[in-house]
Amino acid sequence: MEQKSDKDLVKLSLSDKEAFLPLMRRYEERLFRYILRISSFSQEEAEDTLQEVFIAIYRNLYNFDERLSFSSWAYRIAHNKTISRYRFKKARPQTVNIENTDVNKLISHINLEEEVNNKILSKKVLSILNHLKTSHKEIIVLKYLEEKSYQEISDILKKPIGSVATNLKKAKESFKSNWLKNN
Amino acid sequence: MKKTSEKVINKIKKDDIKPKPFWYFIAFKLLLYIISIIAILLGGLALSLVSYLLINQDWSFASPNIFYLIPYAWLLILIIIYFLAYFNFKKFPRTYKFTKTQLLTFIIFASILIAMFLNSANLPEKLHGSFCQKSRAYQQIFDSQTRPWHRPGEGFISGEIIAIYDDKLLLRDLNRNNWEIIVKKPYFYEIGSSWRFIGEKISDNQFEAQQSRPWLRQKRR
Repeated sequence: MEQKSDKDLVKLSLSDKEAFLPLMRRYEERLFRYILRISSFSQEEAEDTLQEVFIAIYRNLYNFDERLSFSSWAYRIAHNKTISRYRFKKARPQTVNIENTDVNKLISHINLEEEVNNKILSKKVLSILNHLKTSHKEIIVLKYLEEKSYQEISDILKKPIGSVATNLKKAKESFKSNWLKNN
Repeated sequence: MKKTSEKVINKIKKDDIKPKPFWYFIAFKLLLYIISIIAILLGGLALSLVSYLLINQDWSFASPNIFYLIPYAWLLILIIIYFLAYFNFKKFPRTYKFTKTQLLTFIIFASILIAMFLNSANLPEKLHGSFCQKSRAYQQIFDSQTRPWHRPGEGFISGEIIAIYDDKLLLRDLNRNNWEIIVKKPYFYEIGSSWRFIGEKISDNQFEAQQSRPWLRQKRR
């Protein structure tokens, strides 16, 4: 079962519930981290959201478009569920949950030419990220922390590739200008 | 602590959660296709009516206010249909790959083709005429050709001549009100014909005409 591709597991899950377990295991950590990164949820809230995501994926298995990668489809559902959950709570995400290693990754991608190896600098990065527009924050998380390609981001956010590139450029510029203002 | 995946699989088994059936998604997609086709057809129809009303408008002998000559009601409907069609198209699984401009261009282009086809079959004229005859409310709101001529206070009036006297005509306007129209040569007109007059309202049911012009097409009642 572990050797099978995502698409094969999707097909198997339609007739055998057990086949859905290895599929979930493959994405459990990634989606949990992604939910935390784009929301202000506590660990418990993120876990509840992840459960909702998996149930939604399972309920909509027949709607999976094989032209998409399963990963993009799962991220899209996670993205939508996270957004609708915080809209339901009427609270927009205030803080981003990312680790110091993520901050280093982000800084190197945005070409800020800074050595980020201490907590103070990491806090600055997080503070800037938290003050970005939600759309900018989402795209930065997907590109630099989740390391998704433009095509995958396009499939997850349901936006044309051109718009993804433009939004990412704007998000980077916004991040840079906030960075320069704060340094 | 149990992993989320295990909790979920237990919940699926315990609550006997099943995937939504295949036909559910097929029916949804079918509905999207049907709505899209209807929206494109209605868009084509609205566009054909707008073009018909604009092309057949008498721009030479018209109101000083161009607003009265624009078929704004049909234009508004056309814009609403375009937006509905656009948001419907956005729900298709793969249309997110196209930009707003590309999608709107496709919708507008498709409706232009349908409008051209409908115009070649003379359908807008027949439909508009039929709607005007059946509904006075439609005529008042949608008929941008006759509407500018129902402003006696501003010096524009039109209608059907129902009687001819030595020095005046009796005209029935769009609202079925009778007007005495003072003209220089009443014998020039015919009972049952439809005319437009420019002049001055001199009382609640009297109008002094300075210029007159027949309706080129059959005046609708």
